[in-house]
Amino acid sequence: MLRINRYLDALTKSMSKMDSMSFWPLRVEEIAAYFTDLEAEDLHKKMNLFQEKGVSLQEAAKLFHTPSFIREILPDLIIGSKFTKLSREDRIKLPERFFDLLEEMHSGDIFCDNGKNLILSKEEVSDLVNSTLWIKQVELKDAQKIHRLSSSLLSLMWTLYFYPWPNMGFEIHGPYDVSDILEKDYVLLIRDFFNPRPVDLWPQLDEFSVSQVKLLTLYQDIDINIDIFDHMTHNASLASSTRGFVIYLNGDIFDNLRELDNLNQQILSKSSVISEVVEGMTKEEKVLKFIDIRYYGLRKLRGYFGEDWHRPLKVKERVKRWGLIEVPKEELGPSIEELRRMFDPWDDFRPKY
Amino acid sequence: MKVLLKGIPASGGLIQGQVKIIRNLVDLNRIEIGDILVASITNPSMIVAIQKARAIVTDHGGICSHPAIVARELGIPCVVGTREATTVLRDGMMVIVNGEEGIVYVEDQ
Repeated sequence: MLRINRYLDALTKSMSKMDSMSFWPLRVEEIAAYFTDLEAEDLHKKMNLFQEKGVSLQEAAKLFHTPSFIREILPDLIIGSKFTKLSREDRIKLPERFFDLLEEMHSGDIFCDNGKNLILSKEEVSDLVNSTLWIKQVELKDAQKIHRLSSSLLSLMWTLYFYPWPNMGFEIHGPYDVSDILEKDYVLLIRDFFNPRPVDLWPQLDEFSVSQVKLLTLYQDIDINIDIFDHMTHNASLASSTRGFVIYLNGDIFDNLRELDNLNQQILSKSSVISEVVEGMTKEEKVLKFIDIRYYGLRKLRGYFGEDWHRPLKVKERVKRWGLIEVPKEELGPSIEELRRMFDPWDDFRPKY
Repeated sequence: MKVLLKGIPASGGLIQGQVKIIRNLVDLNRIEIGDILVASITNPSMIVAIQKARAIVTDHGGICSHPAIVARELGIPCVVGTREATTVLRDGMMVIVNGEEGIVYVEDQ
């Protein structure tokens, strides 16, 4: 099957489990028109430059953080390309180039169609499991605290990068089968919160001491599924299934479990500070911040080409000229069939902005 | 037991508790440990209140929406997409949330 069709299958499968009304602080339809065509033209140009200059996939992939980040920006990019003068052929090439990058970054199915987001190779997993100083005598209350911490970090990501782009700051990968290294039905899951402190976006985080949290967890007898957007579902309690863990804070092992509550409180506190700032913004400020986040996500790529990563003036001019796009809060989003057509670069069907 | 609401099962578990309806950010201060948090939808501003709650019930959302993902991490029951939780339920009601089946019950009087 063509990669684009596999992509569309995985995308619509995931989107059928979402709900456009739950997007925060605005719906994507309220911001996409201001920047997606500009971004599509820009990324099309940059992808061509990579090819012309003979930049390796490995080198190019490093500019996009993680696979989930690419999978997260692709839908708007495809739609954006339909509002440009790009030919249909070029429109089709654009996601294909990103699929090539995903292949470079991934060791499993790049669309997580098998319920796994596998980045590490089997050898890397083996080395990691064998070299990690696991805490294996796990009391339920500690396992609950770890997952409380994880829920706080996930919420912080939504607060900092808004919904739908939280993967600008984290990646959950796995579940890696480690039964042959440890015990029967053991899996490893890695939650990597690699940018909880984007000071360029949120100066309020200047004194926040948490710059990375990596949580490695071993689970047993649990079926964990991860979809194309890094959404995780499972069939049993995570805390009860925890058999081992290790927490890295700013690159160092964090093993003072009595301090976990304190760490959790620090994260919750920052999440509250930023969400209060967001809730206090005017709609125009939210629109611009939303777009700033998108440009921030591509800062490494733009930096590679010697460009300023910040949102171009043209975006703000459009917001002023076109006015704010209002979508009634309770209005249902497009159907799954319409979404599939929108995200299909072969299909000219596009949303009505 | 009487079924009050049916929705999408988003996080397993069976729990009884008192309903607190969140209609705005000020309402978040009313959530106490063990309450059932009921809202149209949750968002990241609510995380402190969510961590005090024993279960979450929402009008909107799917199994990959904010309330569902956070509830699964916390291991608390969650029912989303009920369409009418904030209108059918009342503050202070004692209800049972079955996150496995996506049902909210009230005990027969």
